[in-house]
Amino acid sequence: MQQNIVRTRDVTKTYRMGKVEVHALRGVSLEVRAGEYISIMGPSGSGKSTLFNMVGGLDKPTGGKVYIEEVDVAQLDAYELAWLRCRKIGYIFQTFNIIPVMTALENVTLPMVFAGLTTDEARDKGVELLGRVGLGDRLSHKPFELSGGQQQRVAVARAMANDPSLILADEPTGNLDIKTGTEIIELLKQLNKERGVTIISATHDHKMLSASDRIVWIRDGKVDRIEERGDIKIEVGTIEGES
Amino acid sequence: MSQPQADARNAQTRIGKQVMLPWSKAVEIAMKSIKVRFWRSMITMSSIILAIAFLMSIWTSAAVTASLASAPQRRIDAVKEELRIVRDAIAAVQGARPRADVEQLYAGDVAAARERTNDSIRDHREALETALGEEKAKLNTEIARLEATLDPAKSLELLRDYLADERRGLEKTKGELDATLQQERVGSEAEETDAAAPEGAAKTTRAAAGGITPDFLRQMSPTDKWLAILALLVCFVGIVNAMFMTVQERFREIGTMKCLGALDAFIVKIFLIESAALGFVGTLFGISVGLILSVVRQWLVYGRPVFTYFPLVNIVVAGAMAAVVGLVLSILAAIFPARNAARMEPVEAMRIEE
Repeated sequence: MQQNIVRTRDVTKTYRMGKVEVHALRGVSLEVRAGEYISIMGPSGSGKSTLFNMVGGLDKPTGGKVYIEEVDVAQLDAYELAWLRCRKIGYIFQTFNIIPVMTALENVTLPMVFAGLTTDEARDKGVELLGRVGLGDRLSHKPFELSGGQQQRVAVARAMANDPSLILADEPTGNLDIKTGTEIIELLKQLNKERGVTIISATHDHKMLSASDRIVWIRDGKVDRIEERGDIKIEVGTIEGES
Repeated sequence: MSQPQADARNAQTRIGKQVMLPWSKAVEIAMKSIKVRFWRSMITMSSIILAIAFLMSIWTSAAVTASLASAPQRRIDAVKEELRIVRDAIAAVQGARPRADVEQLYAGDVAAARERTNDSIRDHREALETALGEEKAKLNTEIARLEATLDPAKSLELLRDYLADERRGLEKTKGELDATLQQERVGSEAEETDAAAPEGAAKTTRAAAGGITPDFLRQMSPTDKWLAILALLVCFVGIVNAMFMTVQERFREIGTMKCLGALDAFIVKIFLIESAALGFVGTLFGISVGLILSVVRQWLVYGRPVFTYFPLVNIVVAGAMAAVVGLVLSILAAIFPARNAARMEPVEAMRIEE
């Protein structure tokens, strides 16, 4: 059965900046099927990060509904929301957001600790995950001892910690150069293929396009158009200037 | 299909509830957190130490000064009290009935005693009459002694002599103390009070000082009171600022932890343990440092009397108050911003730092 892992209905978000109201989202309806690799594309300020936050339950929409596995996120209490963030969703950020005072391994095991795994179980699984992203020899390195690409790999491993069914990536390649960015995209694609993890990635990096099953173009807080992979074949292989 | 109902059902079946991790896990994470940012923790703790040391030193020196200032007065009061007792005793002796009255009062007893003595004399005499000459002489002296004890005038004289001696001694002490007090007032060194004080008087006053009301702020001079309150304010601002800063710079971390599935209460728990640990150790150090520095300074200024009149109870009270201030402030100043950050949506918490 083809299932919608994420569904949004007329999601709006309004920020108040002093007296001015900023409409970041003006009614976004979107359906993401399980196992898809979706890119949300759009220029800066188009609202794609805001949409990302709504989908991930990191922020509350002003209007409309967000469903994750057909469950209304707004209906969840704090415990259920924490459970959802812990086990159902893995997050990857542009700024990596790995905890600077912890080692790579500690960063990866943290979500497992929150999920209630014992220290030993968490460590074993953390070692395995870091090995999978190619950092098997960097377990006890602190973030400042790692390059940007390696830090983002730690973040990917951390996102996978509790075997989520959905990975949300907000500009995962935004702070990386072309080569490492491509590596991260390949890593995500690999996870998508091998494990069937749904990936939603907000980006304006055109390298993402070739990996995506569908691309959602956002403009001025609205869905501009949705393209299937087949429609954008022409762009595959084109080397774009790094944004 | 009716969506809301389906949602409600799904919410029950598919979404679990995150469990609260036990305190031991929170302690583990908090201790690790202090350890990994050891130097940052030390800086936070050093501001707690400084603040509490300042507070404690001001309070200690105020308490010591107050004790030194009031010590001579307390000693004089004690001597006066003793003098009064002696004076009462003397008055009682002097105002006693004249000898005849006393004799009359005890006439019965005296008569009985005399009777017994007379009997004994008679017995002895009878014995003596048949005994040797030396024995007779011995018994005669004993008779004389026995007769002497019957005289009430003699014992009164003895008591009077004793009280007079005591009075002379106390008046001498009082004279010396008055002189010292005079010197104190003129502004001379406090050391001489110590030298002039007889050991007994010093002991009584120290015992009296120990029992004094624990509200040492009451004994302080207005200047000292003002300083003590200022120190409290400075301490307050110092600790609150330090703890706010440490939490503020970890807002992003709080947001990240929420993304990874930490419960608000668990984050608050971690910060509670961290700030309590820092606050506890910092406060302990601060109290010791402040106390030692302050006592050394007082000792250099006033010398040995600082220890003779050491206001132990007041210092302990001041220490306890400083401990409460330090611990409560560090915990509250960390918990409130941490709680606010934990309650925010993760994105907001992560955005704040940028």
